Amino acid sequence: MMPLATNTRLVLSFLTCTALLIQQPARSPQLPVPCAPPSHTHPKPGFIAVPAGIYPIGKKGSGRNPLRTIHIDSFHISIYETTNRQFAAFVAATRYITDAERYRNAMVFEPGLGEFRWLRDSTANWRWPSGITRGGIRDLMDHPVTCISYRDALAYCTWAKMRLPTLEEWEIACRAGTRTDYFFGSDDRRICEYANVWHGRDHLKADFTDGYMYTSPVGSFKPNPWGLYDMYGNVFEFCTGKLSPTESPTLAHGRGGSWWCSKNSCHSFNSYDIGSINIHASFSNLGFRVVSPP
Amino acid sequence: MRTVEDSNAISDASTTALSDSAYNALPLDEQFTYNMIHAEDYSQMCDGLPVHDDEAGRIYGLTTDFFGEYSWSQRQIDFFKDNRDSVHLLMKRVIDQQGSVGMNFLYIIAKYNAVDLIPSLIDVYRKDNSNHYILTVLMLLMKANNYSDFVQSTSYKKLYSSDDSHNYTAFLTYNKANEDLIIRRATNFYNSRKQSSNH
Repeated sequence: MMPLATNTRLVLSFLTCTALLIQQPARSPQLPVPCAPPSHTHPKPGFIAVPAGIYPIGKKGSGRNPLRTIHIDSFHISIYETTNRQFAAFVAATRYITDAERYRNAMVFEPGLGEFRWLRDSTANWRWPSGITRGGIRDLMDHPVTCISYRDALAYCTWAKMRLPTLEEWEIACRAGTRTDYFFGSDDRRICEYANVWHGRDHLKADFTDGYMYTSPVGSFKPNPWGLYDMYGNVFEFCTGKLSPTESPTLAHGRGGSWWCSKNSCHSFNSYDIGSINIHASFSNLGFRVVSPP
Repeated sequence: MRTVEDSNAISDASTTALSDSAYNALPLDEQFTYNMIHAEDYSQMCDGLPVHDDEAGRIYGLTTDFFGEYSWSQRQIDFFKDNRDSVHLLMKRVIDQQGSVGMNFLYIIAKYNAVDLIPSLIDVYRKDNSNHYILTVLMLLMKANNYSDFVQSTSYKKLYSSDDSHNYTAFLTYNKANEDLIIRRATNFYNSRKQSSNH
Protein backbone atom coordinates (compact mmCIF):
# COMPACT_ATOMS: atom_id res chain seq x y z
CA MET A 1 0.00 0.00 0.00
CA MET A 2 1.26 3.45 -0.80
CA PRO A 3 2.57 5.42 2.12
CA LEU A 4 -0.12 7.42 3.74
CA ALA A 5 0.08 11.11 3.12
CA THR A 6 2.46 12.70 5.54
CA ASN A 7 1.54 16.30 4.95
CA THR A 8 1.44 18.03 8.26
CA ARG A 9 -1.89 19.52 7.39
CA LEU A 10 -3.39 16.11 7.71
CA VAL A 11 -4.23 15.11 11.16
CA LEU A 12 -4.65 11.38 11.16
CA SER A 13 -6.45 9.18 13.52
CA PHE A 14 -8.93 6.40 13.71
CA LEU A 15 -12.58 6.84 13.75
CA THR A 16 -13.49 5.21 16.98
CA CYS A 17 -12.41 8.09 19.14
CA THR A 18 -9.32 9.49 17.63
CA ALA A 19 -9.69 11.26 14.33
CA LEU A 20 -8.73 11.62 10.69
CA LEU A 21 -8.22 15.13 10.29
CA ILE A 22 -5.79 14.90 7.31
CA GLN A 23 11.16 14.49 -22.68
CA GLN A 24 17.63 12.38 -30.25
CA PRO A 25 15.38 14.14 -31.63
CA ALA A 26 15.62 13.69 -35.38
CA ARG A 27 13.79 16.87 -36.23
CA SER A 28 10.90 16.67 -38.62
CA PRO A 29 11.70 18.52 -41.87
CA GLN A 30 8.58 20.69 -41.72
CA LEU A 31 9.37 22.16 -38.32
CA PRO A 32 10.43 25.83 -38.14
CA VAL A 33 14.05 26.85 -37.77
CA PRO A 34 15.07 28.56 -34.54
CA CYS A 35 15.95 32.25 -34.57
CA ALA A 36 19.39 32.44 -33.05
CA PRO A 37 21.60 30.40 -30.80
CA PRO A 38 22.75 32.07 -27.63
CA SER A 39 26.42 31.42 -28.20
CA HIS A 40 29.08 31.40 -30.92
CA THR A 41 29.50 27.69 -30.63
CA HIS A 42 28.11 25.44 -33.35
CA PRO A 43 25.27 23.61 -31.73
CA LYS A 44 24.20 20.16 -32.71
CA PRO A 45 21.31 20.00 -35.17
CA GLY A 46 18.06 20.33 -33.27
CA PHE A 47 19.77 21.74 -30.21
CA ILE A 48 20.93 25.11 -28.97
CA ALA A 49 24.09 25.52 -26.94
CA VAL A 50 23.86 27.31 -23.64
CA PRO A 51 27.27 28.56 -22.57
CA ALA A 52 28.71 27.98 -19.12
CA GLY A 53 28.29 30.91 -16.80
CA ILE A 54 26.55 32.43 -13.83
CA TYR A 55 22.83 32.90 -14.31
CA PRO A 56 20.08 34.39 -12.16
CA ILE A 57 17.11 32.06 -11.59
CA GLY A 58 14.06 31.89 -9.35
CA LYS A 59 11.59 34.46 -8.18
CA LYS A 60 11.72 36.83 -5.27
CA GLY A 61 9.54 35.56 -2.43
CA SER A 62 9.15 32.06 -3.82
CA GLY A 63 9.56 29.31 -1.27
CA ARG A 64 10.10 26.60 -3.86
CA ASN A 65 12.31 28.54 -6.24
CA PRO A 66 13.85 31.56 -4.50
CA LEU A 67 15.71 34.24 -6.44
CA ARG A 68 19.42 33.36 -6.62
CA THR A 69 22.38 33.08 -8.99
CA ILE A 70 23.94 29.76 -9.95
CA HIS A 71 26.91 28.60 -12.00
CA ILE A 72 26.32 25.97 -14.66
CA ASP A 73 28.50 24.21 -17.21
CA SER A 74 27.58 24.51 -20.87
CA PHE A 75 24.87 22.23 -22.21
CA HIS A 76 22.94 21.56 -25.42
CA ILE A 77 19.16 21.50 -25.07
CA SER A 78 16.63 20.29 -27.61
CA ILE A 79 14.75 22.97 -29.52
CA TYR A 80 11.58 20.88 -29.38
CA GLU A 81 9.81 18.64 -26.98
CA THR A 82 10.27 14.93 -27.64
CA THR A 83 7.64 13.77 -30.12
CA ASN A 84 5.51 10.70 -30.51
CA ARG A 85 7.63 9.82 -33.60
CA GLN A 86 10.81 9.89 -31.53
CA PHE A 87 9.29 7.90 -28.70
CA ALA A 88 7.91 5.38 -31.17
CA ALA A 89 11.44 4.83 -32.51
CA PHE A 90 12.60 4.14 -28.97
CA VAL A 91 9.83 1.65 -28.31
CA ALA A 92 10.37 -0.05 -31.66
CA ALA A 93 14.07 -0.46 -30.87
CA THR A 94 13.68 -1.64 -27.29
CA ARG A 95 10.19 -3.06 -26.85
CA TYR A 96 9.99 -0.84 -23.83
CA ILE A 97 6.75 -0.93 -21.91
CA THR A 98 5.70 2.29 -20.23
CA ASP A 99 4.31 2.57 -16.75
CA ALA A 100 0.85 3.36 -18.11
CA GLU A 101 0.91 0.24 -20.31
CA ARG A 102 2.10 -1.88 -17.43
CA TYR A 103 -0.20 -0.61 -14.72
CA ARG A 104 -3.10 0.71 -16.82
CA ASN A 105 -3.33 3.74 -14.60
CA ALA A 106 -2.90 6.73 -16.92
CA MET A 107 -4.86 9.83 -16.07
CA VAL A 108 -6.71 11.62 -18.85
CA PHE A 109 -8.84 14.70 -19.25
CA GLU A 110 -12.10 15.43 -20.95
CA PRO A 111 -14.10 18.68 -20.88
CA GLY A 112 -16.64 18.80 -18.09
CA LEU A 113 -14.38 17.82 -15.24
CA GLY A 114 -14.01 20.07 -12.25
CA GLU A 115 -10.80 21.99 -11.74
CA PHE A 116 -7.81 19.69 -11.11
CA ARG A 117 -9.93 16.56 -11.72
CA TRP A 118 -8.63 13.86 -14.10
CA LEU A 119 -9.97 10.43 -15.01
CA ARG A 120 -8.10 7.17 -14.64
CA ASP A 121 -8.32 5.38 -18.00
CA SER A 122 -7.04 1.83 -18.27
CA THR A 123 -6.89 2.14 -22.08
CA ALA A 124 -4.74 5.29 -22.08
CA ASN A 125 -0.99 5.25 -22.74
CA TRP A 126 1.45 7.05 -25.06
CA ARG A 127 -0.17 5.37 -28.10
CA TRP A 128 -3.64 6.41 -26.98
CA PRO A 129 -2.94 9.54 -24.94
CA SER A 130 -6.53 10.27 -24.02
CA GLY A 131 -7.78 6.67 -24.08
CA ILE A 132 -8.80 4.45 -26.99
CA THR A 133 -12.20 6.07 -27.39
CA ARG A 134 -10.60 9.47 -28.04
CA GLY A 135 -8.20 8.30 -30.75
CA GLY A 136 -4.56 7.31 -31.18
CA ILE A 137 -1.38 9.09 -32.25
CA ARG A 138 -1.39 8.15 -35.96
CA ASP A 139 -2.05 11.75 -36.94
CA LEU A 140 -0.16 13.17 -33.97
CA MET A 141 3.38 12.02 -34.69
CA ASP A 142 4.80 15.58 -34.44
CA HIS A 143 3.01 16.20 -31.18
CA PRO A 144 4.88 15.77 -27.92
CA VAL A 145 4.70 12.29 -26.44
CA THR A 146 2.45 12.18 -23.39
CA CYS A 147 1.08 9.69 -20.92
CA ILE A 148 4.62 8.79 -20.00
CA SER A 149 6.07 8.83 -16.52
CA TYR A 150 9.35 10.25 -15.24
CA ARG A 151 10.66 6.68 -15.25
CA ASP A 152 9.68 6.33 -18.91
CA ALA A 153 11.41 9.63 -19.79
CA LEU A 154 14.59 8.44 -18.11
CA ALA A 155 14.42 5.16 -20.03
CA TYR A 156 14.13 7.08 -23.33
CA CYS A 157 17.13 9.21 -22.39
CA THR A 158 19.21 6.15 -21.60
CA TRP A 159 18.43 4.67 -25.01
CA ALA A 160 18.96 7.98 -26.85
CA LYS A 161 22.21 8.66 -24.97
CA MET A 162 20.69 11.89 -23.75
CA ARG A 163 19.53 13.15 -20.39
CA LEU A 164 16.79 15.31 -18.98
CA PRO A 165 17.65 18.93 -18.17
CA THR A 166 18.10 19.80 -14.55
CA LEU A 167 15.54 22.10 -13.00
CA GLU A 168 18.10 24.91 -13.19
CA GLU A 169 19.18 24.21 -16.79
CA TRP A 170 15.56 24.23 -17.91
CA GLU A 171 14.96 27.62 -16.33
CA ILE A 172 18.14 29.17 -17.76
CA ALA A 173 17.19 27.93 -21.24
CA CYS A 174 13.62 29.11 -20.80
CA ARG A 175 14.53 32.56 -19.49
CA ALA A 176 16.97 33.09 -22.39
CA GLY A 177 18.62 35.90 -20.53
CA THR A 178 15.43 37.50 -19.21
CA ARG A 179 14.59 38.14 -15.58
CA THR A 180 10.84 38.68 -15.92
CA ASP A 181 8.16 36.13 -15.07
CA TYR A 182 7.91 35.24 -18.77
CA PHE A 183 10.63 35.34 -21.42
CA PHE A 184 8.39 37.78 -23.31
CA GLY A 185 7.98 40.16 -20.39
CA SER A 186 5.55 40.51 -17.53
CA ASP A 187 2.17 40.59 -19.28
CA ASP A 188 0.74 37.08 -19.28
CA ARG A 189 -1.86 38.05 -21.88
CA ARG A 190 0.86 37.50 -24.53
CA ILE A 191 1.01 33.81 -23.62
CA CYS A 192 -1.26 33.01 -26.58
CA GLU A 193 1.57 33.96 -28.97
CA TYR A 194 3.99 31.54 -27.40
CA ALA A 195 2.14 28.63 -25.92
CA ASN A 196 -0.62 26.08 -26.19
CA VAL A 197 -2.47 26.60 -22.92
CA TRP A 198 -6.06 26.50 -21.71
CA HIS A 199 -7.86 29.83 -22.20
CA GLY A 200 -11.24 28.90 -20.72
CA ARG A 201 -12.23 30.23 -17.34
CA ASP A 202 -12.67 26.65 -16.13
CA HIS A 203 -12.46 23.16 -17.66
CA LEU A 204 -16.17 22.51 -17.95
CA LYS A 205 -16.24 23.32 -21.67
CA ALA A 206 -13.77 22.43 -24.42
CA ASP A 207 -11.38 25.26 -25.25
CA PHE A 208 -10.02 25.66 -28.79
CA THR A 209 -9.11 29.35 -28.43
CA ASP A 210 -5.54 28.78 -29.62
CA GLY A 211 -6.55 26.07 -32.10
CA TYR A 212 -5.89 23.10 -29.84
CA MET A 213 -7.69 21.56 -26.91
CA TYR A 214 -5.06 18.94 -26.11
CA THR A 215 -1.46 18.95 -27.44
CA SER A 216 -0.29 20.87 -30.52
CA PRO A 217 2.48 19.86 -32.97
CA VAL A 218 5.81 20.91 -31.49
CA GLY A 219 6.98 24.28 -32.75
CA SER A 220 3.47 25.57 -33.52
CA PHE A 221 3.92 28.76 -31.53
CA LYS A 222 6.60 31.45 -31.37
CA PRO A 223 9.94 30.41 -29.81
CA ASN A 224 11.69 32.08 -26.93
CA PRO A 225 14.56 34.52 -27.67
CA TRP A 226 17.02 31.63 -27.92
CA GLY A 227 14.85 29.70 -30.39
CA LEU A 228 13.36 27.12 -28.05
CA TYR A 229 9.76 26.17 -28.75
CA ASP A 230 6.99 25.27 -26.35
CA MET A 231 8.90 26.19 -23.21
CA TYR A 232 5.52 27.20 -21.89
CA GLY A 233 2.46 25.05 -22.38
CA ASN A 234 1.87 22.02 -24.59
CA VAL A 235 3.30 19.57 -22.04
CA PHE A 236 4.91 19.81 -18.67
CA GLU A 237 8.57 18.90 -19.14
CA PHE A 238 10.23 16.50 -16.73
CA CYS A 239 13.48 17.73 -15.20
CA THR A 240 15.94 16.12 -12.83
CA GLY A 241 16.63 17.54 -9.42
CA LYS A 242 15.04 17.90 -6.02
CA LEU A 243 13.61 20.86 -4.20
CA SER A 244 15.07 19.69 -0.92
CA PRO A 245 17.45 16.96 0.21
CA THR A 246 14.73 15.35 2.28
CA GLU A 247 12.17 15.22 -0.49
CA SER A 248 10.40 11.94 -1.13
CA PRO A 249 12.31 9.68 -3.57
CA THR A 250 9.02 9.01 -5.31
CA LEU A 251 8.64 12.66 -6.29
CA ALA A 252 9.68 14.07 -9.69
CA HIS A 253 9.41 17.61 -11.03
CA GLY A 254 8.41 19.29 -14.24
CA ARG A 255 8.25 22.80 -15.61
CA GLY A 256 6.57 25.12 -18.07
CA GLY A 257 2.91 24.23 -17.68
CA SER A 258 0.81 22.40 -20.23
CA TRP A 259 -2.21 22.59 -22.57
CA TRP A 260 -4.38 21.97 -19.52
CA CYS A 261 -3.07 24.93 -17.52
CA SER A 262 -5.08 28.12 -17.33
CA LYS A 263 -4.48 31.41 -15.62
CA ASN A 264 -7.46 30.73 -13.40
CA SER A 265 -6.19 27.38 -12.20
CA CYS A 266 -2.49 26.62 -11.78
CA HIS A 267 -1.08 29.40 -14.00
CA SER A 268 2.15 27.43 -14.20
CA PHE A 269 3.16 28.51 -17.73
CA ASN A 270 5.96 30.76 -16.53
CA SER A 271 9.71 30.76 -15.91
CA TYR A 272 9.65 30.16 -12.17
CA ASP A 273 7.05 27.60 -11.09
CA ILE A 274 8.06 24.02 -10.44
CA GLY A 275 5.48 21.23 -10.51
CA SER A 276 5.66 17.97 -8.62
CA ILE A 277 4.42 14.48 -9.39
CA ASN A 278 4.94 10.84 -8.55
CA ILE A 279 7.76 9.28 -10.62
CA HIS A 280 5.38 6.66 -11.98
CA ALA A 281 2.41 8.89 -12.73
CA SER A 282 1.34 9.16 -16.38
CA PHE A 283 -0.86 12.06 -17.44
CA SER A 284 -1.83 13.26 -20.89
CA ASN A 285 -0.17 16.62 -20.21
CA LEU A 286 3.26 15.23 -19.22
CA GLY A 287 6.20 15.08 -21.61
CA PHE A 288 9.87 16.06 -21.82
CA ARG A 289 12.71 17.49 -23.88
CA VAL A 290 16.29 16.27 -23.79
CA VAL A 291 19.77 17.60 -23.18
CA SER A 292 22.60 16.24 -25.31
CA PRO A 293 25.98 15.32 -23.88
CA PRO A 294 28.84 17.67 -24.83
CA MET B 1 17.38 -5.17 -30.26
CA ARG B 2 17.89 -4.57 -26.58
CA THR B 3 15.74 -3.96 -23.63
CA VAL B 4 16.10 -0.90 -21.48
CA GLU B 5 16.70 -1.88 -17.90
CA ASP B 6 14.44 -0.38 -15.36
CA SER B 7 17.38 0.81 -13.28
CA ASN B 8 15.62 3.92 -12.15
CA ALA B 9 12.67 2.35 -10.47
CA ILE B 10 12.74 3.48 -6.90
CA SER B 11 9.64 2.11 -5.42
CA ASP B 12 6.38 0.36 -6.00
CA ALA B 13 5.18 1.58 -9.38
CA SER B 14 1.55 2.00 -8.72
CA THR B 15 -0.68 3.54 -6.22
CA THR B 16 -2.50 0.88 -4.34
CA ALA B 17 -6.11 0.48 -3.64
CA LEU B 18 -8.36 -2.04 -2.04
CA SER B 19 -10.05 -4.35 -4.51
CA ASP B 20 -13.65 -3.51 -5.25
CA SER B 21 -14.84 -6.49 -3.24
CA ALA B 22 -12.72 -5.62 -0.20
CA TYR B 23 -13.65 -1.97 -0.43
CA ASN B 24 -17.33 -2.65 -0.77
CA ALA B 25 -17.24 -5.05 2.19
CA LEU B 26 -16.11 -2.30 4.56
CA PRO B 27 -18.73 -0.76 6.79
CA LEU B 28 -19.43 2.85 5.96
CA ASP B 29 -17.42 4.34 8.80
CA GLU B 30 -14.37 2.29 7.80
CA GLN B 31 -14.78 3.30 4.16
CA PHE B 32 -14.86 6.85 5.42
CA THR B 33 -11.66 6.37 7.41
CA TYR B 34 -9.91 4.65 4.48
CA ASN B 35 -10.92 7.36 2.06
CA MET B 36 -9.99 10.20 4.35
CA ILE B 37 -6.43 9.06 4.89
CA HIS B 38 -5.62 7.09 1.71
CA ALA B 39 -5.88 8.64 -1.76
CA GLU B 40 -5.88 6.04 -4.53
CA ASP B 41 -4.90 8.08 -7.62
CA TYR B 42 -1.96 10.27 -8.61
CA SER B 43 -2.15 14.03 -8.46
CA GLN B 44 -1.28 15.94 -11.60
CA MET B 45 1.90 18.02 -11.93
CA CYS B 46 0.34 21.31 -11.00
CA ASP B 47 -2.00 20.26 -8.21
CA GLY B 48 0.24 22.03 -5.74
CA LEU B 49 0.45 25.20 -7.83
CA PRO B 50 0.36 28.01 -7.39
CA VAL B 51 1.91 27.76 -3.96
CA HIS B 52 0.05 29.72 -1.34
CA ASP B 53 2.59 31.97 0.34
CA ASP B 54 2.19 33.75 3.69
CA GLU B 55 -0.79 31.68 4.77
CA ALA B 56 -0.63 33.29 8.22
CA GLY B 57 -1.17 36.77 6.82
CA ARG B 58 -3.75 35.90 4.18
CA ILE B 59 -7.20 34.43 3.81
CA TYR B 60 -7.19 32.68 0.43
CA GLY B 61 -10.32 32.34 -1.66
CA LEU B 62 -9.69 28.66 -2.39
CA THR B 63 -8.23 25.78 -0.43
CA THR B 64 -4.86 24.33 -1.29
CA ASP B 65 -3.35 20.97 -2.19
CA PHE B 66 -3.22 18.56 0.71
CA PHE B 67 -2.52 15.00 -0.48
CA GLY B 68 0.71 15.86 -2.27
CA GLU B 69 1.46 13.38 -5.06
CA TYR B 70 -1.82 11.50 -4.58
CA SER B 71 -5.47 12.35 -5.13
CA TRP B 72 -8.80 10.77 -4.41
CA SER B 73 -10.01 8.34 -7.08
CA GLN B 74 -13.42 8.53 -8.71
CA ARG B 75 -14.91 5.88 -6.43
CA GLN B 76 -13.65 7.79 -3.44
CA ILE B 77 -15.18 11.01 -4.75
CA ASP B 78 -18.37 9.07 -5.39
CA PHE B 79 -18.36 7.82 -1.81
CA PHE B 80 -18.36 11.33 -0.41
CA LYS B 81 -21.10 12.35 -2.81
CA ASP B 82 -23.32 9.29 -2.47
CA ASN B 83 -23.13 9.17 1.33
CA ARG B 84 -23.38 12.89 1.89
CA ASP B 85 -25.47 12.91 5.06
CA SER B 86 -23.58 10.08 6.74
CA VAL B 87 -20.25 11.67 5.81
CA HIS B 88 -21.37 14.95 7.31
CA LEU B 89 -22.34 13.23 10.56
CA LEU B 90 -19.04 11.36 10.75
CA MET B 91 -17.06 14.53 10.05
CA LYS B 92 -18.99 16.45 12.71
CA ARG B 93 -18.29 13.73 15.25
CA VAL B 94 -14.57 13.77 14.50
CA ILE B 95 -14.29 17.56 14.45
CA ASP B 96 -16.16 17.92 17.72
CA GLN B 97 -14.04 15.21 19.37
CA GLN B 98 -10.72 16.47 18.06
CA GLY B 99 -11.35 20.17 18.25
CA SER B 100 -9.48 20.56 14.99
CA VAL B 101 -10.17 20.13 11.32
CA GLY B 102 -7.77 18.87 8.62
CA MET B 103 -7.50 20.09 5.05
CA ASN B 104 -9.06 16.85 3.82
CA PHE B 105 -12.14 17.58 5.89
CA LEU B 106 -12.22 21.20 4.76
CA TYR B 107 -12.09 20.11 1.13
CA ILE B 108 -15.03 17.73 1.57
CA ILE B 109 -17.04 20.27 3.54
CA ALA B 110 -16.69 22.82 0.76
CA LYS B 111 -17.04 20.36 -2.11
CA TYR B 112 -20.20 18.74 -0.81
CA ASN B 113 -21.85 21.77 0.69
CA ALA B 114 -21.81 20.69 4.35
CA VAL B 115 -23.55 23.83 5.56
CA ASP B 116 -24.65 22.04 8.72
CA LEU B 117 -21.01 21.95 9.87
CA ILE B 118 -20.66 25.74 9.95
CA PRO B 119 -21.14 25.98 13.75
CA SER B 120 -18.53 23.28 14.34
CA LEU B 121 -16.07 25.08 12.04
CA ILE B 122 -16.59 28.37 13.82
CA ASP B 123 -16.18 26.68 17.23
CA VAL B 124 -12.89 25.15 16.13
CA TYR B 125 -11.67 28.43 14.65
CA ARG B 126 -12.48 30.35 17.81
CA LYS B 127 -10.36 27.95 19.86
CA ASP B 128 -7.42 28.19 17.46
CA ASN B 129 -7.52 30.76 14.70
CA SER B 130 -4.27 29.71 13.05
CA ASN B 131 -5.90 27.79 10.18
CA HIS B 132 -7.33 30.54 7.97
CA TYR B 133 -8.56 27.94 5.48
CA ILE B 134 -11.49 27.47 7.84
CA LEU B 135 -12.49 31.02 6.90
CA THR B 136 -11.88 30.09 3.26
CA VAL B 137 -14.36 27.24 3.56
CA LEU B 138 -16.95 29.41 5.26
CA MET B 139 -16.73 31.76 2.29
CA LEU B 140 -16.90 28.88 -0.19
CA LEU B 141 -20.08 27.62 1.46
CA MET B 142 -21.69 31.07 1.23
CA LYS B 143 -20.56 31.33 -2.40
CA ALA B 144 -21.89 27.88 -3.31
CA ASN B 145 -25.26 28.77 -1.85
CA ASN B 146 -25.33 32.20 -3.50
CA TYR B 147 -25.80 33.93 -0.15
CA SER B 148 -26.64 37.46 -1.25
CA ASP B 149 -24.95 39.35 1.60
CA PHE B 150 -21.69 37.68 0.63
CA VAL B 151 -22.10 37.51 -3.14
CA GLN B 152 -22.69 41.28 -3.23
CA SER B 153 -19.70 42.01 -1.02
CA THR B 154 -16.33 43.50 -1.90
CA SER B 155 -14.68 40.35 -0.58
CA TYR B 156 -16.56 38.20 -3.07
CA LYS B 157 -15.63 40.48 -5.97
CA LYS B 158 -11.99 40.39 -4.99
CA LEU B 159 -11.85 36.64 -4.57
CA TYR B 160 -14.22 35.15 -7.09
CA SER B 161 -15.78 37.45 -9.61
CA SER B 162 -13.07 39.02 -11.75
CA ASP B 163 -12.24 37.35 -15.05
CA ASP B 164 -8.74 38.79 -14.78
CA SER B 165 -8.02 37.39 -11.35
CA HIS B 166 -5.91 34.33 -10.86
CA ASN B 167 -8.43 32.60 -8.67
CA TYR B 168 -6.04 30.26 -6.91
CA THR B 169 -3.86 33.12 -5.72
CA ALA B 170 -6.63 35.57 -4.81
CA PHE B 171 -6.71 36.40 -1.11
CA LEU B 172 -7.94 38.83 1.52
CA THR B 173 -5.48 40.30 3.97
CA TYR B 174 -5.82 38.60 7.32
CA ASN B 175 -6.91 41.00 10.04
CA LYS B 176 -9.43 40.96 12.87
CA ALA B 177 -11.98 42.96 10.91
CA ASN B 178 -11.98 40.55 7.97
CA GLU B 179 -12.02 37.58 10.32
CA ASP B 180 -15.00 38.91 12.26
CA LEU B 181 -16.85 39.84 9.10
CA ILE B 182 -16.50 36.37 7.59
CA ILE B 183 -17.64 34.67 10.80
CA ARG B 184 -20.57 37.05 11.23
CA ARG B 185 -21.72 36.54 7.66
CA ALA B 186 -21.35 32.76 7.92
CA THR B 187 -23.33 32.72 11.15
CA ASN B 188 -26.10 34.80 9.62
CA PHE B 189 -26.07 32.55 6.56
CA TYR B 190 -26.35 29.42 8.69
CA ASN B 191 -29.14 30.90 10.82
CA SER B 192 -31.10 32.00 7.79
CA ARG B 193 -30.83 28.48 6.33
CA LYS B 194 -31.93 26.95 9.60
CA GLN B 195 -34.90 29.28 9.89
CA SER B 196 -36.05 28.58 6.37
CA SER B 197 -35.77 24.83 6.90
CA ASN B 198 -37.87 25.11 10.06
CA HIS B 199 -40.70 26.77 8.20
